[in-house]
Amino acid sequence: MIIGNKAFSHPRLCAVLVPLLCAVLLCSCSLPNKKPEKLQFFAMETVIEITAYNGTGKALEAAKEKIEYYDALFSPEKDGSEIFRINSRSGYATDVSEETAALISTALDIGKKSGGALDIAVYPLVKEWGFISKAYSVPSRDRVDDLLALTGSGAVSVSGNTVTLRSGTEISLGCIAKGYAAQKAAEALRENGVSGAIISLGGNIQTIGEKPGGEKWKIAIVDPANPDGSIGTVCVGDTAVVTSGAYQQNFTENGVFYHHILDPSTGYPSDSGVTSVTIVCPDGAMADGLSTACFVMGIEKSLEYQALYGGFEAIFVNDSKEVFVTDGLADSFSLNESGGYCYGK
Amino acid sequence: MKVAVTAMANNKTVSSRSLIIIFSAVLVACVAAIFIMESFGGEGKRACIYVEGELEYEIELDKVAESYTIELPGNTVLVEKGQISMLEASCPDKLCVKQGCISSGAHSIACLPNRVMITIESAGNGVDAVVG
Repeated sequence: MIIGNKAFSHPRLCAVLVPLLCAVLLCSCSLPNKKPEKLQFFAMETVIEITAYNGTGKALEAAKEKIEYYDALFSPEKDGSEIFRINSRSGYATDVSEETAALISTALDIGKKSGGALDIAVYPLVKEWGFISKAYSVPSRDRVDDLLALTGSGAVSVSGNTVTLRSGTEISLGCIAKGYAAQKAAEALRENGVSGAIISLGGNIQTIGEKPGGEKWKIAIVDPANPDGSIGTVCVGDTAVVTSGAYQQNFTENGVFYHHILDPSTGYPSDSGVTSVTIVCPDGAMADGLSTACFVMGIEKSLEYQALYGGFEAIFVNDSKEVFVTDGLADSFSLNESGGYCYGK
Repeated sequence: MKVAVTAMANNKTVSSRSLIIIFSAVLVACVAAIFIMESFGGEGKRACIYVEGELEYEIELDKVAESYTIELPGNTVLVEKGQISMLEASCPDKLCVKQGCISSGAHSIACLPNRVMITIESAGNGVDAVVG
């Protein structure tokens, strides 16, 4: 009370000090929140985590609903999904939604441009190897050849919203659907006012905007030889970052290592010399599809693809523990040398 | 308090210097508090165990003195100093058990059939997410 009276006798001083104090307190309140809003759930056969720096529960739920919607729309294993319906009508034309037709076309386009390195029709082979049921086993050469006949160019055709499979062919959008769903979930977050968030969907990362304070997102890339470590980090803005790696799903039979990324030209696990490929691309579906295609193509052909079509950057790790980074990421990638990796030449 | 108030009342005026000192002290205290919160908030390696997307356990791994296990429906988690692993799982493929220990935020352990996820959040590594 007395202090207040005295303060009143120094109005000029108070006019400076009080706002200054208020400003400091306000700044402290607006500092980046240490505990952003997080939502974790299981969908699309993986764990999904959404972290939003200025998000509300409603925004996160909207993003979750999007991912669950696309899981139900695209999962070949879910009765009632559009892909399930296409597969069950193999040999006949099936009308689907515009989105499903468009995503199949995107996958076919990457497949065509990559010389068949991405093929959504390898699904029966993926099942035969046990990568869906997790009952892994190496199929016979004859069985692989029989199933290979159901793949390749002409196995899938799209005309408008009508999809037709060659009789016996079955498809899966597993190589592209997560990236697409992450991209759509990001749109849902933006529509709900979120300007800084990150979506982790298995091996797929989708960032939204920037971190509080305008910093870029720092993404660590898993070390394919030691999944508890990383080969380095890449700093990115608003984009998708997707990795395909031999370490993600595999088994060993009679001492031989087999992983889940099949080469559509052989029907066997890809043997292109890379152990992981990370794609940075603003389009989530493209990033997802290209990570598989580039894994199968290997470094040289992937670089040719990039030179021809562009639109993405990549980080390759080969089986000699060498890391190759495309020019566009040279300044934003930082190698973790303690993991035994070095830049390749 | 009464003494202080009386003492102040006895001073006919509070000088500008006193006022500046009071405000400066409050200002310095605020800045120091913010700095301390920013610098030391959440330091250490914290394992988070989620079941069905709900955070069930938070463990400061660096502070674990003796190893122990946590029983979940379908899974047994082994907590050790600086690391954590899935010891047992009721699922058929047991990928989570085969994954072994994790000790950094670079990778997480997931048991998809039982909807269990273990992550490590390390303060100070500056990484926002892990891809792979």
